Amino acid sequence: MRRILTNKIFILVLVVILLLALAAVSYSEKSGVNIIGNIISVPAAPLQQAFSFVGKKVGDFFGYFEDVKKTKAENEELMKRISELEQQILDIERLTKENKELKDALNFKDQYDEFEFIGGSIIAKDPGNWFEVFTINRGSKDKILPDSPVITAYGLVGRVSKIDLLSSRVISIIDIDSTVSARLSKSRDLIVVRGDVELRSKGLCRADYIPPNTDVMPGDTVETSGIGGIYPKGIIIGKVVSVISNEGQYDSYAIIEPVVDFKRLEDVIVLKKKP
Amino acid sequence: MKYRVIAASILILMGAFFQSTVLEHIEILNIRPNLLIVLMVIVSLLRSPVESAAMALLFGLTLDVLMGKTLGWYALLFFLVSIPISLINEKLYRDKILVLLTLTLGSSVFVEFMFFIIVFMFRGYEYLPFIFWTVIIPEAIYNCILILPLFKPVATVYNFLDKIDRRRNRLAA
Repeated sequence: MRRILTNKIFILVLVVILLLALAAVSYSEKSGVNIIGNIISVPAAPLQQAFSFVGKKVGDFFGYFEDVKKTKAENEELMKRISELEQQILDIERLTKENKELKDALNFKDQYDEFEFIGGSIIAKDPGNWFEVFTINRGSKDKILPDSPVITAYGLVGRVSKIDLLSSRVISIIDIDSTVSARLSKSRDLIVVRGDVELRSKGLCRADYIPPNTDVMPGDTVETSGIGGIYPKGIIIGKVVSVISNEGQYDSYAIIEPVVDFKRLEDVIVLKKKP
Repeated sequence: MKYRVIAASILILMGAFFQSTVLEHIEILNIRPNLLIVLMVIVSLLRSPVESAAMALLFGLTLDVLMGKTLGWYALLFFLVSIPISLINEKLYRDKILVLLTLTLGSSVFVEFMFFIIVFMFRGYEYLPFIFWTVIIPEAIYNCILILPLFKPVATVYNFLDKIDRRRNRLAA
């Protein structure tokens, strides 16, 4: 028995079997084995956060000189916009009041009422060249829940996949493991938006299962459908860039440009379901 | 032994930190090098098979954890690549650039190719030629460039640790 245990080939085979077992057990995002990620993520999170902070400051410093040139031209443009916006604010105030009155009359529930907004910063990006996953500085200590939607002011970013003590991993909508039930804003047809190996590097994703004879054109807006239970309805995903039509009934697909620029994304909002 | 464990832990943590933050800023054509593959090759060239395999396992597991997906695939691939390198490392001229480049290129291509097969092709993705030429080969070339400035400093640290061990053993004897 002792000879077997000290046999190098036996140890090699044992390690391989254990690693295969680990891969099988950790395949599910909610697997308890994933807690070992804390061994790396807890000590790494402060370092990543510090680097992210310094990187941002250095970027801001160099950006300052470039910004001065732009500021003058922008100032004139902004003065014009202010007067336009002042008028729009008055309209919006009136419309908001009307909207509230109508919602109250219809007993509509605001879809975001059931969510708590938690702001977070990206402290690390995906370490390899395969996926589009990033790490944010909010973890189980902030009571983040798995599958919480992640958004910005512009639209959908993705969902929380794994949660460590001080940080969480977010799968973006352009990652190959991401699937979002969506709707074309114009025609209201249901589609599925998912990540694609080829499109990922360009910051794009694709929309599958476009029903035949659907009125879909470049420039159309795509939003979440609310089906599936992860993403609330009506969050903007992106715009259709092109439509590729094939012969099969559901073979056509569209290329979607997300409203979120994943290359320059720094801060996000996690929607946490209220208890 | 204590110093060796501390040095290994620092190497792994620094690898994880740089891979997930700094390297993002030196991407070329959306491709970044894989520092942990490079470190695995360096350690496998410098150390015994047992130490190399253990370190490769930890480097791989670190990359798996950072990716936030299934744990174990990179650990397994790193482990399997490090053993043959460490078994022949004494027969190689480790300081020769050609040796470093060949082993890094071979290891990078093997690890990433197998990772693609395991993770993507089993799910029905069929972009192998595209992925091979746009992701695997550029990353392997990038890793080859990265190993050149990194090999000497890591080798120096390990030589220093060996010296400490030898001095301690002499004193104990």
